[in-house]
Amino acid sequence: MLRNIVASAFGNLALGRLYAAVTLIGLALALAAAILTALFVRQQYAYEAFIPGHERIFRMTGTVAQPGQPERVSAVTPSVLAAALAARGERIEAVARLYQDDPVVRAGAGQAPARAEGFVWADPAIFRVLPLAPAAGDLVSALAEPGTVVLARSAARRLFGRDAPLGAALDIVSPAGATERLRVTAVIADLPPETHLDLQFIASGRGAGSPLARADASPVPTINLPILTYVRAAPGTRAADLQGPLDDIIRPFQAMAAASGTKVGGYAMPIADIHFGPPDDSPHGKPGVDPAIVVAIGIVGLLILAMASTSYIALMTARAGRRGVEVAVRKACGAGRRQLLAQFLGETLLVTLIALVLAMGVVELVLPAVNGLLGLSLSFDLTREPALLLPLLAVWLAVGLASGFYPAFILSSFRPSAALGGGTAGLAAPVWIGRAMVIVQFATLAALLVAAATIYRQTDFAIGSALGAGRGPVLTVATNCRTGLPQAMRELPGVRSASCSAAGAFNLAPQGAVTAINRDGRRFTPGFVDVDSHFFALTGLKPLAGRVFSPGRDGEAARRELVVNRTAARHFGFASPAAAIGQPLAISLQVGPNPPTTPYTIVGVVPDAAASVIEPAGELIYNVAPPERGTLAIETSPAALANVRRGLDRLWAAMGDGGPAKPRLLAQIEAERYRATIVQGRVIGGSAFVALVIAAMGLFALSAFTVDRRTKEIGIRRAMGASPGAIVRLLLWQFLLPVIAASAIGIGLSYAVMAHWLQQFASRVDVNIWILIAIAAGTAAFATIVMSAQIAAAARGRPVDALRYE
Amino acid sequence: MLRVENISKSYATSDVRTHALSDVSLAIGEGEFVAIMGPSGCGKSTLLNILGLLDRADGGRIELLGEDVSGASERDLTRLRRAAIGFVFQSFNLVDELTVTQNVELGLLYRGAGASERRERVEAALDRVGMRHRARHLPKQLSGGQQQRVAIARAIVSDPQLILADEPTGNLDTVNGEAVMDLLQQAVARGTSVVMVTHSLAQADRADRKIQLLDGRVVSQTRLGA
Ligand SMILES: Nc1ncnc2c1ncn2[C@@H]1O[C@H](COP(=O)(O)OP(=O)(O)O)[C@@H](O)[C@H]1O
Ligand SMILES: [Mg+2]
Repeated sequence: MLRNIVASAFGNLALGRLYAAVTLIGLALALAAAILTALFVRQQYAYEAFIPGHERIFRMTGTVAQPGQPERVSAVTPSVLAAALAARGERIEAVARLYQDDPVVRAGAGQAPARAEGFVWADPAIFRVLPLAPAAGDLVSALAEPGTVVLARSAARRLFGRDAPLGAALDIVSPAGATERLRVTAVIADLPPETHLDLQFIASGRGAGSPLARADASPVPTINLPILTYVRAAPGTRAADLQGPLDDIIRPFQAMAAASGTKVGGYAMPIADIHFGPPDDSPHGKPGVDPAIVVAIGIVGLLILAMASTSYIALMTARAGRRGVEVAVRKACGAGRRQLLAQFLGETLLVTLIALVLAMGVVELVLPAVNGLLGLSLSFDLTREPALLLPLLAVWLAVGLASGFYPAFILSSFRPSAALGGGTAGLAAPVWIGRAMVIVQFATLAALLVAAATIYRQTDFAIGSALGAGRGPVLTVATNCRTGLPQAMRELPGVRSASCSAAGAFNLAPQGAVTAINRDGRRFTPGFVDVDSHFFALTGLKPLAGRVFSPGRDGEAARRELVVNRTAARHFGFASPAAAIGQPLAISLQVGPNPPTTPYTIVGVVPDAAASVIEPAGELIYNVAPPERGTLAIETSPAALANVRRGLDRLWAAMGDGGPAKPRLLAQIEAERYRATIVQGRVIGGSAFVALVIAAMGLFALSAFTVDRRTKEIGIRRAMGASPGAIVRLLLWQFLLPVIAASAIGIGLSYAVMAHWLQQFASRVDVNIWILIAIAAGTAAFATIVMSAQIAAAARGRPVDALRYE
Repeated sequence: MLRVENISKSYATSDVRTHALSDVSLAIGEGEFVAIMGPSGCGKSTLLNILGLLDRADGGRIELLGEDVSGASERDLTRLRRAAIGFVFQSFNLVDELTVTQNVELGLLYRGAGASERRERVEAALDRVGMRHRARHLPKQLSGGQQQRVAIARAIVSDPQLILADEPTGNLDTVNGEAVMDLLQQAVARGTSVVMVTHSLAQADRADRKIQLLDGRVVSQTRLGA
């Protein structure tokens, strides 16, 4: 039996080599695409799963809703939260904080300094909260002493050239040139990519050198430090169980904030939810990944499988006519219905298996490129993960049976007399199957194109609407703003403008909130950004009223001036931007019942510019105070960019912070912010491409079969006087109609989904009707091109050839 | 109305060259009923296809309605076929997916007739062949004789000057064959020229003229009833 199936399958492949190739390649491509999307979805849902007990580890999350504004979510917590939580320890096993920093470090005196990305100061209990895998040393006691540091293995290799540099010295070099020595006490294994944690250097929060210890020593609680608070709870604890203690701790802050109309809150977020969580507003935060998109990508994978499957069904049933005699002969030789069913199903399973093996090869082959393109680290290694064979087996059976059953049914139910009686007429597959295939495929294709185009346009818009976009290329470099470097850069030829401001200033992420008290004594908690006097010139934010800071006014008086954005002016109670000019505002960097304040004057109101397209602009105030840890942004021209880079390197050697300059383009930074969305766009775009190929192959083969099957009809019509053009129209129309209907369905569905998707962005593009029309027209034109060669050949032929077929 | 001079046609297959027609000349007059006879494979269908402009001869001259069409383009051939010629085939050649009405309509569709004109003429043609009551049927729901009557309706619906019928009764029993002959003779009576291939002497006797083909050559022409 098996030999018979194999022989028959290959016999059929040999019969119609082109169609066999189309079927096999289509199935293999679809299976490869499905495997890739499945790997992607699996990776997205695997976040934090490598941490033992991750289901009971929580990160404390704060929410702030200013009047008239949607709630913002931030992982940045007050420094005192951890101690307060630990004191209410019923269900809490351990609490630890991470203070995110990015100092310049070097591996001992005389070594080259480097900026330390992924540097945190941590409470010693951090490894009780996050039981990471040790590679060397004892994590439990590693951070107990002040001046100790734990490295990730890759950081150890990079800096020390070995895996376990226990006892080695790591120096932190301050901008002023002072050093602080840390001792390496342990090494952890590198974290997998499926985590929100960026841990390369974990320094002990104890000791005078640590900003955590400094925050703890401060008499008033600070709310503006990049401190994250993690909790490990008792087994079985849910986020809701922690809400009570958290609310008790937050309550006094809530009362204070309520005075300014601001609602603050907090909750415990399971770390596994962070990846799909709301966008994190904190300086190191990332926009959350929309799980709906990940689910949608999974569905896209299934749709592509469905496309290939319908393709297979349509082609096999279309070819059924050619196999009528074979079926008849087999039946005449005594084959029963059941044997024939098994025979044809077996054939499909065999073809699917070959396709699956091909697909696995394709996945192996393209995975590095896919990972590179998407910035992912998907892996597909059956030797390391033999369990993957099970889902593959399931996919094989599912696709094989789904594709094979109907053609097998059609073939086996065929009456031999019809075939042996002459002619192929008896075994015509129902026309609707081909149409159904075309509709499924082109609806999917059109839907994917709409989705990809919308995502692309929105990310393009997001990057394009960032501050400073549309200006010349803007180089940014982290530096101390109080050095001569900004001025030296401004004097460099090719530099249009340069501003050194707070790290978040150029993407308008506020450094934090301050307390602002207006003339009537009302309190607000606007975001604030420290800028220099060149900031507005560089970003092009023009005042709506009053003036902005301008160079040459960096004196003491200028330090007491504020520029506020339009939303802040409105919330502070001013009827118009102009009404705010000259008005006083008392500012405090602290929260508390009666914080000490400093008087400021509002000198200008600028338009709202949001930190990202995800959120609307909140209240924001600008102050001239070039920060010690800031970002120097240098606007240049494309032509001068290379020279300016060189100039920067040269000046940096003399005036930089001792570490290497790592200039990055603002546009790059923006692209990184939307990376998750860009990745999703590319996944969908890639799927659209696979869909395009499958749809093209399916339609090509189907039109070939149709022309073949309708040869007699074409001949008759030609004999009746139909011109070749009329035949072309007739045949084209047969498929164009379903193609057009399908793209209407696909575009409509996708439009609805994408309009909903866009809702998450405060500023967004609309789903452009012309793009929808272009996609509809494009798919129709594409379908026409795919079919045109076959159809033109059929129409040009002499009618007599067609009639003789009979 | 139709004249062919010295036409020949050969088919080249992979190993042999078949001379299907050699040096055939004949003329068909207006309203004439011509029967073509000859053993199987002697070139009857080939000749009919060339007469009907469905196929091209290798050499010789063809003149239709006074126009030399030997070197005409495919487009001109289509135009002429559309304007002047109707076909009836041995195997009926109805389009399986179309109803009786739609099949008959095909004879008009490509001539650019309007919808109401088409409806009237299709009904009239179906009336003439006695198939009006089967107008909505599909070909496979009809008997062979009925299918051939529909095919004749399709051929006459546009009032062509020439009807070419290749063994129109070949797949039919005697009664149905007679009915088809009656219909063709009615067409002749209305002034249409008919060229019919047949194996039946009795049927050939109903024609005005009999042409005998043998191995691609005309071996005799007999004018009947003259
Ligand atoms: N397309 C073709 N290719 C090769 N030979 C053909 C073709 N059509 C007809 N012939 C050959 O030409 C000869 C005449 O065929 P045909 O005109 O169909 O004969 P008839 O209709 O008289 O039976 C036959 O020998 C036939 O085999
Ligand atoms: Mg013949």
